[in-house]
Amino acid sequence: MKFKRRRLIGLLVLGVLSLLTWVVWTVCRTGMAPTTLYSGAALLSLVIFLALFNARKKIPFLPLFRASTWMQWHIYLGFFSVLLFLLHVDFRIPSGLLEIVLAIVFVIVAVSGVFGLMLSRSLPRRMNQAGDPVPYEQIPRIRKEIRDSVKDLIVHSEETCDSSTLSEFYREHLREFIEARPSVFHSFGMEKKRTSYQLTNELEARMRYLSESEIEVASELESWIGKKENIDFQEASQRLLKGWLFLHIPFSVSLILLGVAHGIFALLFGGNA
Amino acid sequence: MAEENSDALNRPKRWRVPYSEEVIGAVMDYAVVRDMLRGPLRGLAADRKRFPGDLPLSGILRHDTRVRTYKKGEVVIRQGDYGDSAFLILTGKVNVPLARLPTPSRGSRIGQKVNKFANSIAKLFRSGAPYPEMRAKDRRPEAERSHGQIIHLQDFPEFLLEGSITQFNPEFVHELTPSNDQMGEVFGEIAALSRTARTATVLAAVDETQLLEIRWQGLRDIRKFSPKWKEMIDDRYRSSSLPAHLRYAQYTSNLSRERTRPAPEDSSADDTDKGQEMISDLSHLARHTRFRSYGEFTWQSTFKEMAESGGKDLQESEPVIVKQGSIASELILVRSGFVRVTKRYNHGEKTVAYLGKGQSYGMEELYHNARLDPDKHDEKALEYAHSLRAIGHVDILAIPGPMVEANVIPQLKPAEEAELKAELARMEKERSRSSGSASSGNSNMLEFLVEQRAINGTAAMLINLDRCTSCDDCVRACSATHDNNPRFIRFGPQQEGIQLTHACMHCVDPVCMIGCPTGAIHRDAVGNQVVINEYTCIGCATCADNCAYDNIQMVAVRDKGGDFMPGSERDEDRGMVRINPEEDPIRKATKCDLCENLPTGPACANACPHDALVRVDLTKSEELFDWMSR
Repeated sequence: MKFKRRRLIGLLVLGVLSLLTWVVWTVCRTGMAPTTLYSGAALLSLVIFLALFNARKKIPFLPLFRASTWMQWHIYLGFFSVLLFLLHVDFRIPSGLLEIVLAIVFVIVAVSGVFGLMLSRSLPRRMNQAGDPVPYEQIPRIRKEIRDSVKDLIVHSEETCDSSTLSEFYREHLREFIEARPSVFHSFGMEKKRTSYQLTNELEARMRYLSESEIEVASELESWIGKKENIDFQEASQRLLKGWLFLHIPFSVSLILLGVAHGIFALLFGGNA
Repeated sequence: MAEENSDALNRPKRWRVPYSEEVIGAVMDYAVVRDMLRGPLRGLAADRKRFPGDLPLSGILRHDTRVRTYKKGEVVIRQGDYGDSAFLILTGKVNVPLARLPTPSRGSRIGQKVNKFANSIAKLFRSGAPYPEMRAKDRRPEAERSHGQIIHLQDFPEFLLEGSITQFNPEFVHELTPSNDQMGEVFGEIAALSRTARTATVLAAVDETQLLEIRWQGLRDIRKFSPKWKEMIDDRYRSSSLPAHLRYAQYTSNLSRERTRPAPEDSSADDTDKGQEMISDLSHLARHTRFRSYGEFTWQSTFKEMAESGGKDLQESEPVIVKQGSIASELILVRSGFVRVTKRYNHGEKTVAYLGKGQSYGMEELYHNARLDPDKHDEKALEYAHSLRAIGHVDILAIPGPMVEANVIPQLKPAEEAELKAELARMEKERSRSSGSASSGNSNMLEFLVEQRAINGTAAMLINLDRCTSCDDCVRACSATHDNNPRFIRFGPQQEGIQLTHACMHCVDPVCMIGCPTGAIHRDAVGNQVVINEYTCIGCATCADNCAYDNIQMVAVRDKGGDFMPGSERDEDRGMVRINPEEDPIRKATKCDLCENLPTGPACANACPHDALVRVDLTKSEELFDWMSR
């Protein structure tokens, strides 16, 4: 099925489901039914179902639908759970410590989920456009290769060209760039350090002081700068793509535990309202 | 360093497991070999002395052949299956239906069904191996049940004698019996030699039909050392593969197989009985068809060298089958292998398509030329619009233009004619556009697939890098399914954001099988995937070296304690000696098996949450482009 069509069907189903839920909720409320109990039970069941996606990944050999199908359910039912949550709290900020904590955890899980969805739909394309993809485990090796090659080039130029222009450039600017590891903000262009573009410009500006053999070295350096830029972007992006799950999954587990506790307390002490 | 140790595991060697022991009910021992060399194989026995001392004929027959007995109606080989053995009729007889068998007869084999669901449940309760590539010390697989499947003759009423439910109509069935000449009656050798699918189904015609099954490795060695057998097998390969292909090829499948025309005096066609002077249209065409081969059988070694220089050099190294601009004089049918279709584009040639087995080229031009009015001098005969180049090893059948005009075109179906006319109109339109254009939206991708030889893959792993988040769920799923040992590397060449990942593609022409001394790497009898029998793999790495795509890995196997498996081998002076496993561990070839025992199919594709990974048949480019345009 084409992605556009699938998205359209998903949105349509989500819309119809939301509308039906809204209507049922309104009718139940008018009839003085225990809507909070119903919406709470539905919400907890839904959150548990959404969490099962991760459990399914551990048993790939069982015929339990494709992971991509689970992903679609996860996305649309995830959005639906936000509606259920809003109905459950009656569009108000909850009172009580456990309820407030529970609401905060829910918001963290929901927001991190949406953030993760946005990342997983946008970053791969940008990574692919930026340069050759690199397996995460290979990054330290490539980083070392870049570092060693640049050092060798500088040493070689110093020894053979009898000039310090490139080695000064290395000491003043290039070394920091080559040896630095990117932060996760690198993918958003939010780092303060010099960019490869600036470095290349600075190197170009020094071209007038270089001999012919040094110019050759400089063009090789430019190519290594480009590789380093790519590896930084790939590493930062991959860390981000994996990192958001360290927020989403632990908070999802907390959400289930707190939700169960909240359900027990509500049943024991909360009456039927 | 070698040291003596009698407890160590025997290092696997060729002939460790005789062929007869792989199937229940098959027999072969030296007494049978002796009888055979005096009886049905006496022609071969004459060449006995030509075999080297370390590869004696009796050894080949003992270890690479087996005698199998079939009941009436049992399928010996099935059309469409991949087989790596040939058969010699010892006693009884076999039937070869002359038409394609109906689909229901080609389901899974009885007795070979694997309970995939139970397999997957069992995995739940099995903890993964704590060390990589752990193996039981002397794991010996159970012999397979007989491959035969009882097919009831009533299932094919169109082949039966009128009123009978037990007898084939001889008009529709070709019967093979033991031959009286010294070479015997052989069948199944085409698929075994060319690594292609069986072209016909063969059933035992009577009870107690005994056949000598010769596996590919044995057939290869016999061919190598026995000139008579080489000549006989090569002759049969040429004479029987050609009509078999014409029978199912595009355009020629319409031709009648009824013997309606007189045979020339030197007739020796397959479907003429000695007393009859008539041959079929198909045989007539086969007689005039030229069989040509391009490229080398072992193309992968040249490809690996050329791939490094890449692009234009690689294309120019491919033999030209047809040159763009030459007058269309033949209909080209691809018998096996792949053909690159290119069109001149400024200073180079652009790949616009590729052809695989069963596809044809040149029919449009020949059809146009056949309809030319000789009185109208302004009408010009068409030239070939493209060049054709052989990718790897290619077998071509070339039918001369006049034969096409006289025999094929008059028997075209209306739908085929309409298609040809539409294609001609499209070609005319293209010609009237600027001469430099050879535009094709997917040209770069086609170029890439051909350049990488990926068109050989029936289950290539492609990853859409625009969607892949590098979550490694695919690798983890593969690992969980294979005892914590992933069977692919999530890396590979890429084009237009699509990565051709290093995972076995289960090729149409699995060159990895060439040279395997034990037949450990073979086609699965049920699913046709290329799989490795770990027990018979001797770790020689021939398959890994032959794989043009680096998709087979050699791994050092470990025992339960996580140490490399100790091995021993025979030393001429000291007898059995132990080999230090740290220096020379026992190795096994490993690769993707498409999760053949799981109900989910390949776990990698099933586990990708982002719809980024697919296993796709690249022999049909449409499937790929459909997936890309989602």
